[in-house]
Formats: sequence, C-alpha cells, structure tokens
Amino acid sequence: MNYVGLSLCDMANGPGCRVSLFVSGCTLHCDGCFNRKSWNFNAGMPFTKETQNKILTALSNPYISGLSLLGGDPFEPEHESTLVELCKAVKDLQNKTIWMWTGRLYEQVKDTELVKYADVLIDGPFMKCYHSKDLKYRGSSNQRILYLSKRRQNG
Amino acid sequence: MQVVKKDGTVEAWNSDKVYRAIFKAMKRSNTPMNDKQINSVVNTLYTTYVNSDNNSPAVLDIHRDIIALLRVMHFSKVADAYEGYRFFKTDIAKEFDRQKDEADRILYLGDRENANFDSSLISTKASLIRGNFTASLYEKYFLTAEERKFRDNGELYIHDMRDMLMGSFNCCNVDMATVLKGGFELCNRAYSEPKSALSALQVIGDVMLSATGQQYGGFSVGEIDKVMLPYCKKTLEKYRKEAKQYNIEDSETYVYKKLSDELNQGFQSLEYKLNTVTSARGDFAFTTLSYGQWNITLPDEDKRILALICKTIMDVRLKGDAKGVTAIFPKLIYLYDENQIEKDPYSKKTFDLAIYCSSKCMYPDYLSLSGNPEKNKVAKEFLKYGKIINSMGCRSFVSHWEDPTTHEAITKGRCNVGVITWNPLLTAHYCKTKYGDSWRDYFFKEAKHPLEIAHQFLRKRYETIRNQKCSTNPIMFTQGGLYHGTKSPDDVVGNLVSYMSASLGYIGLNELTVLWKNKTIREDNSELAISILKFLKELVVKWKEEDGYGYSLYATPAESLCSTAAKKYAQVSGDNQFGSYLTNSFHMHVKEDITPFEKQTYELESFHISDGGHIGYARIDNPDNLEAIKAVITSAMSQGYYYGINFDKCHCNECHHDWSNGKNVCPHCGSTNVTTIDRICGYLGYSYLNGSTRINDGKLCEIKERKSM
Repeated sequence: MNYVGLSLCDMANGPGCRVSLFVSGCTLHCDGCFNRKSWNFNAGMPFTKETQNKILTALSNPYISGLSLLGGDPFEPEHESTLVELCKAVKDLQNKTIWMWTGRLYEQVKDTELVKYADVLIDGPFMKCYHSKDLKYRGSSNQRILYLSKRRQNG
Repeated sequence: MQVVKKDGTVEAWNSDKVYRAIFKAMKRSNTPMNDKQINSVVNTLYTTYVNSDNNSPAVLDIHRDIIALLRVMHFSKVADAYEGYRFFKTDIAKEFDRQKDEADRILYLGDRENANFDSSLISTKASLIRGNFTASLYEKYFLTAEERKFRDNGELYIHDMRDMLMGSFNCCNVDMATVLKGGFELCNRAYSEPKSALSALQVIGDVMLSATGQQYGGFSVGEIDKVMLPYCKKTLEKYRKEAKQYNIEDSETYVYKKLSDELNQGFQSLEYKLNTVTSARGDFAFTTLSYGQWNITLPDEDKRILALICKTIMDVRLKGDAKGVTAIFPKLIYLYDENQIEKDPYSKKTFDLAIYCSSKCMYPDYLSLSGNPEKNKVAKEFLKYGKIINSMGCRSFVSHWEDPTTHEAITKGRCNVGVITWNPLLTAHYCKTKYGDSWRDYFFKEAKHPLEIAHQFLRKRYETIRNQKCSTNPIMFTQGGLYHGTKSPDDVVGNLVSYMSASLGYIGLNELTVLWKNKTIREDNSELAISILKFLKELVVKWKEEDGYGYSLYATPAESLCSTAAKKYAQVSGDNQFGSYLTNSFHMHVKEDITPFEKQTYELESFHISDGGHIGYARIDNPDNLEAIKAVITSAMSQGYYYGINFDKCHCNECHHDWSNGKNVCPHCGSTNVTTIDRICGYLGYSYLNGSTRINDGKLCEIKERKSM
C-alpha cells in the first residue's frame, strides 16, 4: 500500500489533534473529488513498518486524540490487510479513537474486517450538487457521520 | 560700532545683549562668574573690535569670539554651555520644524505605530502630537550622552519615550477590592461602597477609566470574580427581600435571574466603555480582567455566583457589539488550576466555556497556576502562598515579594516602572565590525556596555517615581489601588517602590542565532538563546543586589519595534537577510512549520527564564475544533505556560458573515469591507478595521507570513 499524505498533528479531520493518513488508490473517481492525485494506487510513498511506527509513536502522545484514515479510499480491498494491522496496533493504545472516511456506503463495507475498528465512519460518495462549505467532517450533505462505537463521545 | 545680523540687517552694538548671553550660559553651566568678570569679557570684546579693521562684526563671529575669550579666561564650562546653546538654538529650530511635520502627518495621514491607537480621533491626534513633544523634551533634556548613544545605534530601545517625562509608572495589577471596600475618593468626589453587582461594575468602570490616564501601561484587575462576589451577594440579598415582600414564587430562580441580568448589563457596559471611551491619555487603555480560580471548599452558593460571574464575562464577549463584532478590550485571562477543574463541576463548566470562547474570540488567554512548579514562578507562588501573580497588561509578571513587617507574600497592588529592550543583533554587528571573525569571543564583554546603561536608565525610573507626589495618581497611591497606597496626596511615593519591578527586554534571538551559528533558533534547539537568557538573568539578579530595586527579564512584545529594529540592523550592516521584521523575544520564527506542541517544547526553557514577562502562543488552523484547542491549552498548562491561541478572526461589515483564517475578502459576498482581529503580540488588535489597517508594515508582513504563530 502507498500513501499520499501523513499529518502527525492534524486539526482539520476529526475532533481534537489527530494523526491523519491519506492512503493512495481509489476506484470510485467521484466528480469534484478534493484529492484526485490520490486515485492512483502508485501515488505517494510506500507504507512501511517505519511509517507504522512513526504513526504509533505520534499517537502515544497524550494530546493526540486518535487516528484518521482518509484517501484515496481506505476501503479498497487491497488496503485491508495493511490497515487492519495498523488499526489493531492502535487499539492496543488506550483511549485513541479511529475515524475513517470512505466513498462507499456503510452497507457495502459493514462486513469487512476493517470497519470493525472504526469508531466513526463517514460514508458515501462526494456529490457536487450536495456540496457545502459549512458541513462538519464532510464534503457533501449526502454523506453520513456514523458513530459505530460507544467511545464516540470522547471524540 | 555696528553688528551685522544673520539676515544681513545692521544693528548698533549693544553691550547689554552680550552680557545677557554670557550670563545665561553662566547660569546653565552652574559656574560662578561675577559681574566684573562678565563685564571684562564684554569690554575686551568691544575694545578688540573697535581697534581692529573689522568694526562691524557679524553675529556668528561674535559668538565664536565670546567662546574663545571665555576659554582664554579659564571659564571653559561657561564656554561649553555657550557653545552648546548655539547648537541648541539651531537644533530647537530644526526640532520645532520636525514637530510641525509630525503633527501634519498625524493630523492628515494618521499614525500606525500602535494598534491600540485609533489615530482618526481628535483626542488621539492630540495625544500623539503631545507624545511627540514630550518624547522630544525628554530626549533633549533628560537622556544622558550614553543613553543617547546606545539608543541611536540601536542596541537599546527605550519604550514609551513619550511618557518618560511624566514620572508615572508603567502597568499595574490594581487591588480593586481594597479600593472599593468602605468607599473611596475619585477626583475629590467621595464614592460610597457599591451596594449591588451592577453599581460595583459601574464604579469599577469609572475607576478604570480614570486611573488608566495616570499611568501609561496596562491596567489589570486580577481575580475580578472574587472582587465582585460580595456585591453579587448584596444583589441577591436585595432581591430576596423583594421576593419575600411581594410573595414571588420560586424566589431563588428569580433572584439569580436578577443577578444574572445585573451582571450582564454591568459587564456589557464595562466592555463598551473600555472599547469606546479613550483614557485621559488619548488611547484605549490596555485593560485586563482575570477570573476562574476559587477554593473548591467554598460554600456552594459562592461557587455558583463565581461561576456565574465568569460565564457572564464570556457570554458578553461572545455576543459582541450590536453587529456581532468582537471586542478586544479588556483582555481576558482564565486562571487555570488543573486540580480545581477536575474536582469542581462549576470550574469544569467554566473551563469548557472558556475554550469555546477562545475558539470564537481568541480570548481568554490561560495562566497556569499549578503546572510545572519547578520552573513556573506563578505556580510556585500559588502552591506555596496561595497568591496569584496576575499578568499586568499583556504579559508583565512581578516577582515574589514579602512585606518586611508582616512577611505576607503580596502579589496584588503592584506595578512596573518601565521597560528598556536590548537588541543583541546590533551588539553582534558592532562586535563583528570591531573584532572581525573572532567577534563571538567578545560578544558578552561588549554586551555589558549597553546593558549597564540599560540598568542606569531603569534605576533612574525608580528614582524619578519615588520622588513623585502621591497626588499624581490618587487612586493608586492614596486610595489603596497599590499595596499600602493609602498615603496622603502631599506625600511622596517613597518606599512604595520597593515592591515595583523594572524590565530588561530583548528581541531577535532567532536572528542572532542565524548570525552566530548559521542556523535558526529551532535548528539550534534554543541553545544559544538559553545561554544568552541565563547571562541576562544573572545580570538582573546582580542589579537587584547592587541597589535593592527590583529588576526582571522580560520577553518584549515588539509591535513597532519588530520593524524599526529590523530596519536599523539592515541600515547599519547592509545585510538584508532578515527582511522587514525581527522575531519577537525567544520565539521560533513565525514561518517555522511546526505544530503547537512542538512549539511549546522548543520554547519552554526560554519562556521560564524570562519570568518578568512572557507569553506562549500558537496558531490554530481550525478553531472550530474545540477538542484540538483544549488539547493545545491543556498541554501548555501542564508545562506552566501563560498561553493564548491565534487565528485570523474575520467579520464582513456588509453581510455580517464571520470566518477564520481566510483572506480579507468576504467569502460570502465578496466585500473587502472586512474587520480582522489578530494576535499582535501578547494581545489582540484589529489588523484590519473596515478594510484599512492600524498596524505598521513590518508587523503586517509578519502576520501574513505566520504558520506556527
């Protein structure tokens, strides 16, 4: 798996200061996508053991609320094994939440291994006609914020 | 015999005129010369001219000959004074012309030296013109030759020159509770002690507007919630009686509603006053309120009232004016004690509201009362003595001081007498010119010259203030605003100076590090900066031992100085690498792309060494993310910071849309009639007001380039 972006203290994607990973590769190609360069599975840099360690070290800081997975689309099947391994390690740390963004619908991904690790899932394709700047965490109003775990109150 | 005057006209010789000129010079020089001696100069001169070919000398020749004669007759001091006066006359003529030009500039173009001055107002114009005049008087008559030398070469910057003549102090943390208690006098009007929350706030407003005019720096009312508590109780009492009298059901809800109304009205009118009525000095006084700390074992009603006071202050700030524009005065400071927030539900709620208020209005800033007590002076004082060292103005903090008779630690009712800032970058440049490549070896030795002059200057401030009459600032010196400030108007300030502080500031440690090590302060991990700060700290401690006055190390908030210092360096060195502004105090360069947490780590040591005045701050990309702001603040508090967040807070004056961190064009309607609030240094200011700016070019450029600030 490749990734196009990694922010170790991101205030823009999800509540609190978070580690955000933008994975490479998406087959959905929504019209008006904010991150077209991430469609290519070969874009960016390879995700290695070191990348994972860097993420986990950053997450161990008390002021980091959790991990945000964006893309690309983290739910592209070929990302699953790498991301599941990452999420498992994150869950071993106490009190860190995982937020995921996908262009697919929850109903399409609900049986995947990866979604089990999501505390919050923002789902659905980006749709230009529903786009608004005032939406929190989303690009268009058809997308949903689904709180999948009880820990969501803590962000 | 005739004399040819400067304009070419001819006048008869007049021995009296010559006599008077010498007499004046004799007076100025403090050298005794009797009638006979003066007359002998006049007569010698006259005889010389009459007997020479030149029997109609020009005025300038006469001056030259008088000086020569005085020297021959061993009155060299009188000769110096006479000579000085000749230059003085041309200087004064030039200076008066300059004053006229400056006045024209202020009257017709406006002035952007200080973001707190609205230079379109008549009162401000008058104040600015007066300021130019008093600054010039001070410079001409009171600066010593050495002070002038280091000021002119840029190594020292004397702050608030316009105010030095007046002998007033700088900023203070007023003891408002003592002023109000039992009533007081203001401009010969006797005020009785307020009988309700609303009247207390009205009276506090009167005191603030009046007292700020008698000093030149920030005016802080610390722990305003505790000041207000007894008056809130009086209000509750009043309405409880009323509820009983008229059989009002659910009387407790009623009385708290009444109290809340009074507080709302009171704080709103106070905020309006402090943002619209200029002080007697002509600017909007820099005012500060702090709140939020209380003992968690207090009765529930007390805590409920205190929390209501805090909530009202922030509700008023959040509401803004009638169009929703946020106020920038008074500065708000939340007093943060982790233990209290953890255990007391009122405090937790208050803190959460503070975070929300900061996310919308940038204020409050946060003062850590208990974090990092090993290094944090404020936490030491709070944990050991239960006293709060509140920030005076935007960032000045007094040192620990105990009353010599009662041994009580006193933090309220104290003040600062003035600031002088050292620019080490210029000292480095002059060292370089003098010693070449080995300049670094001589830097600390050379630095001692300007720093000793800084010491002399600050000591002079103390001596000036201790000889002032108490009537110059009655609220503070006679009505209890300062500690033991209950003297009679005819008394001098005297030993009240023993608990005051004077500040040695500095600027541009980042640029100095670049010059010294060819790397930024961040790349250097503040190593050089810390060694310089430790050197300065030792120096101010030594000064205190030498003369007993309080000196402290101060991270200067350079507003116009950031740009004048950069210009001066570029001008004398020809080196333009630092652009149009220098980095403030110990901070990382604003362009450093680092997270708020990294910035806190990098700046921590320097912050705590500069404990006479300092503030940490970080830029927040997305102020809507309350959890992120809370994480940044909590982290800063645990390290003992005094801390604020920064973002560009924009408001469209056409469609009243609000946004943050955008351009000065409304994203909603495209108007450029925008008001933007930014953190200038430790305080907020309007970087754009109705589309135009009050900030100097260097600072504006800095604001534009900010990444981590």
